[in-house]
Amino acid sequence: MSASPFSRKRASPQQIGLKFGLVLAAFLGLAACATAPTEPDALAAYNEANDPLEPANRAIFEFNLFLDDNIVKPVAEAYRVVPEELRKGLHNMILTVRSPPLFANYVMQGNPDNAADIVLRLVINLTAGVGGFFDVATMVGIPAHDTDFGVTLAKWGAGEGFYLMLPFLGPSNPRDGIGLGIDSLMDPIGYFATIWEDIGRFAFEGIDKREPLIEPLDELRRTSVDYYATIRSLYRQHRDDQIRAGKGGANFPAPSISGAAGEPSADARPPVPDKDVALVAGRTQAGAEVSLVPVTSVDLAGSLSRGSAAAASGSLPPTGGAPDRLAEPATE
Amino acid sequence: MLNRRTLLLSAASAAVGAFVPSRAARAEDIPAAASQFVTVLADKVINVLKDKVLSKDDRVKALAAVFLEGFDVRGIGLFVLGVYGHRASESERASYLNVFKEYVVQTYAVRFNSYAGESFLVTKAAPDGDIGAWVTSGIGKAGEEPTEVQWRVRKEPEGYKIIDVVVEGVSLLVTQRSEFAAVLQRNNGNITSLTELMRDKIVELRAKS
Repeated sequence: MSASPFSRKRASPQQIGLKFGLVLAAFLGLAACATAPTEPDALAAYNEANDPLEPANRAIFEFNLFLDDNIVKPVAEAYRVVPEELRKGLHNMILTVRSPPLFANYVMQGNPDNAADIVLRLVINLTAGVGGFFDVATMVGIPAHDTDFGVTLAKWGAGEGFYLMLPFLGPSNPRDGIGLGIDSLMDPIGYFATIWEDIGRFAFEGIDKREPLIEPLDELRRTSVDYYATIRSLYRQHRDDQIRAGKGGANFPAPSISGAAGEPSADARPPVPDKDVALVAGRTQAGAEVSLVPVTSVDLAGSLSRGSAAAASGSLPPTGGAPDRLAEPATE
Repeated sequence: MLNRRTLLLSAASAAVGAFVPSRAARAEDIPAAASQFVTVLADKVINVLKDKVLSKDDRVKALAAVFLEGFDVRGIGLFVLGVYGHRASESERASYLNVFKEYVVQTYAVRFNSYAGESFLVTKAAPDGDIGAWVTSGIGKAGEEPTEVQWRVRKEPEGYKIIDVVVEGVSLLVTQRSEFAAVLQRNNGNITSLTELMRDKIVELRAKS
């Protein structure tokens, strides 16, 4: 009777989003807020955490961890039976499908270069990349970019508001939460898919994002004395970095030279990545066998925003400065 | 006349310059020296991991030694106490620093062990004020896109030391300070309770490794 694809539609993303928002508002309304401390040191720490809903947020975090321990992580582990090449292809397809909202966000951010890259990538990967399975665009030098409407709002001057832990979705804030809703409105697939197709896609994207983070998150949780606070800090720093889009400018505080807790030094900004001038100051003599850094923070940071599947899988382009390819290990 | 004076002046300044390096020249040396320092440190880690004769325990000990040599653990430890740092008594601070040292060794140094097979290459260095440098490096498996890691290096009285590591805009120092602030806030700023929590964590980490 009804052959039109539109008749299959049972619930639009907007309707899902609205219901979800109402449930969330009710939940937050019921939950107790943290009361601001009066003592100066505690107040300074409270303000820096910017987490007035902390008791509710921690409860939601526990709920998310419970889901993760019992469903998401086991499924992500099981997903590893799928060969890596196939997983990578499916991941590329997820990125391809996300092109329309990416394009719209770059236009709204006034970034025509990245917007053009997104269109080129879509065309190249849909054709030469066989429906988005192979990332041919990156191979020919058009790198992936990642953004979302939360970043767009930030570029328009919106602040983060306060920290917000969303059930199922993880770390967020009012700005990024609204961004999430707007991004789903800008996603054309959502208008054609049935609710079960939407849920299926959401679940699959979640597993795709979770799989590369199995070890890093395990390690972070194992070593943290307050896992919730660690995630909160990582999320905030990572979002700031995405908003600056690799242009540097984070003003990192540092201890004073005496080693006492100190004020930020005058010039606390790391250098802006520079693609043209890469001063090769040194190369390891022993060749090449190690990473010196807790890689955890790399992968984790990439994963924390739901908009950075690319970063989570390590396929994010280098922010500049670093060579495109590392030299082969020196032969001795 | 003018030529001779210029000549004389430049000869004189060259003579002085040979013996007393100018302040500017010394400041410019810091990024290069800091790059060298980071490179040497990475080499040490690589050599430890290459040494097939070492037992697992000895390897972890050797990695911890490199970590403690390269990082300003005391400066970092005091900094991450944040606003609560000034409250601690001298003895509280001493026992905190002792446990913190062991905690970071268990958390970070031990991790070197699990990242064999990756390349390390310093790509850039820039001054950080006139007391240190940001050293940028690429880390990754040969043939793959490297991860960019920035090392914040300080020239300290006892030599160069790493005070922070920044990956994709995420600072280790800032993250650690936020985490400790949450613990301290929950415990009314009592540093001993943080020390106890770290001590428990160390026991737990040792048992599992």
